[in-house]
Amino acid sequence: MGDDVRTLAATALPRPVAAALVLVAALIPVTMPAVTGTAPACAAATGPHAALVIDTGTGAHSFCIALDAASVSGIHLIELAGAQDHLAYGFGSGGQAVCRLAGVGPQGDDCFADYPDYWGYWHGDGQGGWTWSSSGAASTRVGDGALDAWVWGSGDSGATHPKPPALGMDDVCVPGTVTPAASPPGSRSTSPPPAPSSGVRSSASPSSAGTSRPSSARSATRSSTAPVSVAPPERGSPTVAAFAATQGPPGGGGPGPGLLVALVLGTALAGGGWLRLRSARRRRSIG
Amino acid sequence: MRDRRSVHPMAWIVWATSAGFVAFVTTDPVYLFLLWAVSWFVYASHRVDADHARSFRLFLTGATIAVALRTGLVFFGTVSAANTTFSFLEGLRLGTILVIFGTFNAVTDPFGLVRMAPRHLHEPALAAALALSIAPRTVAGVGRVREAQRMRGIRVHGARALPALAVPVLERGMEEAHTLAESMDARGHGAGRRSRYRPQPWTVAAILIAATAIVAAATFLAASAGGWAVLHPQTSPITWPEADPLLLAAIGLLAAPGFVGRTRP
Amino acid sequence: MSDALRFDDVTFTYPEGARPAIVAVDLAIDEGSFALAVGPTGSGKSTLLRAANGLVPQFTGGTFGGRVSVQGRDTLAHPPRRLADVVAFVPQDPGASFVLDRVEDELAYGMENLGVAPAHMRRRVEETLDLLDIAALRDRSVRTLSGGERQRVAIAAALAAGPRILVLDEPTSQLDPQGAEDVMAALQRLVHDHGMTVLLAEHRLERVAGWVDVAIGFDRGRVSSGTPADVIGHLAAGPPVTRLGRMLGWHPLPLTVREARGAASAAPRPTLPPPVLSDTGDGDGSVVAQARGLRASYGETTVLRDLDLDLRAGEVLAVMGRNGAGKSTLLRVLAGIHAPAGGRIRVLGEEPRPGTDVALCPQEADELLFKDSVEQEVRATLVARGETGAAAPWLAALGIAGLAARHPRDLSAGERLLVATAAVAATGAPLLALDEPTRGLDPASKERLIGFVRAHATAGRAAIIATHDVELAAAVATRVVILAGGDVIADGAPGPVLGDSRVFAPQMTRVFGPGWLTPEQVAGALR
Repeated sequence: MGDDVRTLAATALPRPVAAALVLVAALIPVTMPAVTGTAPACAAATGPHAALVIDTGTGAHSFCIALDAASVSGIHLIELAGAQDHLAYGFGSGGQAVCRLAGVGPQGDDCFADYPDYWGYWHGDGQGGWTWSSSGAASTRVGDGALDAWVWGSGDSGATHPKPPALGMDDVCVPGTVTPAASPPGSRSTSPPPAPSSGVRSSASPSSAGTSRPSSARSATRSSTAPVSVAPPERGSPTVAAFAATQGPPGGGGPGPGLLVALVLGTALAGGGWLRLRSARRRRSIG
Repeated sequence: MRDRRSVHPMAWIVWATSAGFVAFVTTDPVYLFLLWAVSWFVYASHRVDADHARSFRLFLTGATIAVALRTGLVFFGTVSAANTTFSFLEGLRLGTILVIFGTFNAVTDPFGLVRMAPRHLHEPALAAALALSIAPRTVAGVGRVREAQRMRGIRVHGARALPALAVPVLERGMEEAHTLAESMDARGHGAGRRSRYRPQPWTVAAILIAATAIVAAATFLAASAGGWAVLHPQTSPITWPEADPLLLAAIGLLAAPGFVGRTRP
Repeated sequence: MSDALRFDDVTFTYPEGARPAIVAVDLAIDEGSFALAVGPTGSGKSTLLRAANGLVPQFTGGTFGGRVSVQGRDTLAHPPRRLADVVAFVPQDPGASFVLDRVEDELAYGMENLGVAPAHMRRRVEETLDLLDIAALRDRSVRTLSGGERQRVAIAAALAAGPRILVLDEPTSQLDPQGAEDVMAALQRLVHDHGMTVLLAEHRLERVAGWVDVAIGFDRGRVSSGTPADVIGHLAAGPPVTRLGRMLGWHPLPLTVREARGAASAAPRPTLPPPVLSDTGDGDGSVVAQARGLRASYGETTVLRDLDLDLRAGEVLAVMGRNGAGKSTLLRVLAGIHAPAGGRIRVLGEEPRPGTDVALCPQEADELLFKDSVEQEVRATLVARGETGAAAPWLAALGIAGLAARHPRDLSAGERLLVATAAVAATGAPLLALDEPTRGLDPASKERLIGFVRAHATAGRAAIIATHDVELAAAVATRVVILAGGDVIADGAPGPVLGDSRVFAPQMTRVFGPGWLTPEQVAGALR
């Protein structure tokens, strides 16, 4: 009988072999991202675009901003993010320095009121690497395809200040899908924008008004309740952009196809369970 | 239940721990509800008998109540759609863990687990197993007592009739516990020397169950640490939750026990 | 032969006891004896049994005087778990004493505790499975076993650890006649073929009297031991053949059917054919309860299929059958607390209303008792029914008026059953149903119950009793129905139905032929 064969196999399978099999199985999901590799360089979206990444320390938000000129200042990029994606911001030093982003940072004019914490300014190379900015936001020009990041934390230079998450341009701006008008809030899948409610949040709220682009945008949002340590300073792990590409249809609101799959799966499981119980009940009738 | 072909209790522990871990790291209702469906499916495929079935229903009820209670806590602060949703998701996560434990309880024999416990954990494990086994028996007792009192025209509703229900149930429960303890004592329990009758072998089914569960948990661990999937949907503003296909597949793996190791005749 | 069990001037009082449970017991039980403890409930039998393995006093607490030695070991010096290798105890309710789920594991449990080597354990388990003929049950969950199977598994579990002494408390109380006989035969094999010492307590002497070789009589905590004939012969109650022998002055008093046949062959045979009773004669024959095409399940098993039954006023109907035949289910459907899966059930022409049309006393009397005194227990029913009468008449009808002020849980099991019956009968329901009133039912309580039931079945009322106690059915029933395979396979007056059955024949029938049911009946015909 089949069962006896399986039992025989089980006893024939020595413990170390079984353990090894299990270990190999466990390593698969960890290594898979490396196997798929990074996505090809992003093709130009319609019109000049730049990427803006805000890392409050408890959550990161990324925005794909449509530029209204060939190049803008770092300050203006933030203003555009506010206009297009409702990013909350506050400038100080007469509008020349960045004090407050996504509800984090001191109010008022002194951007170093919370020193040693302040907003660190980084520029990305598009592939996940970041360089500490040598000039202020007001004097930095941001052009098409540029990647700007602001990270809240302490540390006086690029060596000590926390780095932004490892994001490439294609993580933030998916080719051919960006329209500034459609600015749905939310992370990966599109969603109906409750625009008024996506205003400025209280501090430490990870789900700030900012949005990322539809479907495959990788906002890497993490809520404050995540048990795993959030926003580690160094993250060299390869991006899983391939999965981004496999995500659902770009644009539009509402649930993605993943939800449909989940619904089908859930129904199948529930129905299967119900059938199992019923057949077991019938089998128990007296003969 | 613990025959040569049944699933090694350790495999169930691995399954329950993995499923519980998955529920722990996410508040995405898609994954959580799917875990409810998975737990239900596994329970239906492996449940032991009527007593355990009853206890599973208890856990299901308890989980629902936990969700409702946790969601209700929002009324102690500012009430908004976002806050309510957040509370609900937190409650859902807790409820999911309860349902998983309910399945675990329904498919394993607590006393079988006790025998596997290391020597110094034997007594607390036994106490836990006794507690777990007395609950379904008490529930059954409540039904019988209620019936019996109906025979005299005493309908057990409300606080006034509580003694008519509570006294016989508790007395019977205590008597059964007493008899069990007496029996165990008389049969040499705790005499110090212990040996193990046939230890449960690891069948292919058990290995599969454990392996798939570990893969599922590892996938979610990778997602949580690597940040390539959203495990906590945004609640302010409320957004449609994620349904990453890889994570869906991982949860699907947790349903593997529904297809292997079944010993129904 | 040396002593397996020895009691030296043993006196014991329970922690909350007003009086000692056993007093100045001096007793020696030889190795290889098959001993029976007999006496009214509350006379100390259970206490003595538990003293034999140290549960008294090490588990129960209380005041203990004297010395009990088990194979030479003093029970005060050795806790029960250190005696587990020489003495094993099987309690009254084996279901509540199972520790593990699988039969095979349950058998191994005792040996695991004793640290027996695995290879040795495997051998012992196989031997014990064969010894009690339960090898086919080895993989089953104990929860799925029938009463008789459970009893045998409990005995096997006790035996597997290899004790020399086996102590059993009412091992056949829940078994049908066939199951009881299987257990007694197995025990006798252990004594005769394996030299074990067996001590058991039992009320239904007709089932055990012929198997044992020494009897210990209990009377209010004091014991006297001797041959079964001596001890049982001095009891007011005994097996029907013994009672008959006493009434007719036979010497020596017969204990078994065989002995009775021997004594009867020397005496004149009863000449008149027995009357065939189908009702008490007081009823008007109107139908009290009716079942047509009844189908019912218990849990997920169908136990009653297409059952037809009529119950008329004045009848006392005994429903018999093997364990699991559906007797309890039938009663519960009649009582209106169990919905049938199909068919029709009518009591007094209507759907049965529990507590109004039918009063069902459950198998476990303890499920009903919650008041502090017997009288309050009956009054609780009267109050719930909105009646203003007193409880006293009901207590008197069951012969327990003297217990009115006692706390129900202080009473013996048999007395508690009578209290529960009173509490249920006080509803005034015309149909009285008793579900297997056998556990712990001592002869005195049984007599009172019989009297009450017969009195109840008059003036438009009826009674139905589910039981596997053949002598009870023979004594009280005016009609007997046997269930098997979910249907009625025999229905009629007790004489023909019980006389026709080899399993359910009472002792009088076995000695004198069909139609003879009780010793009183035979003695009346012979005098």
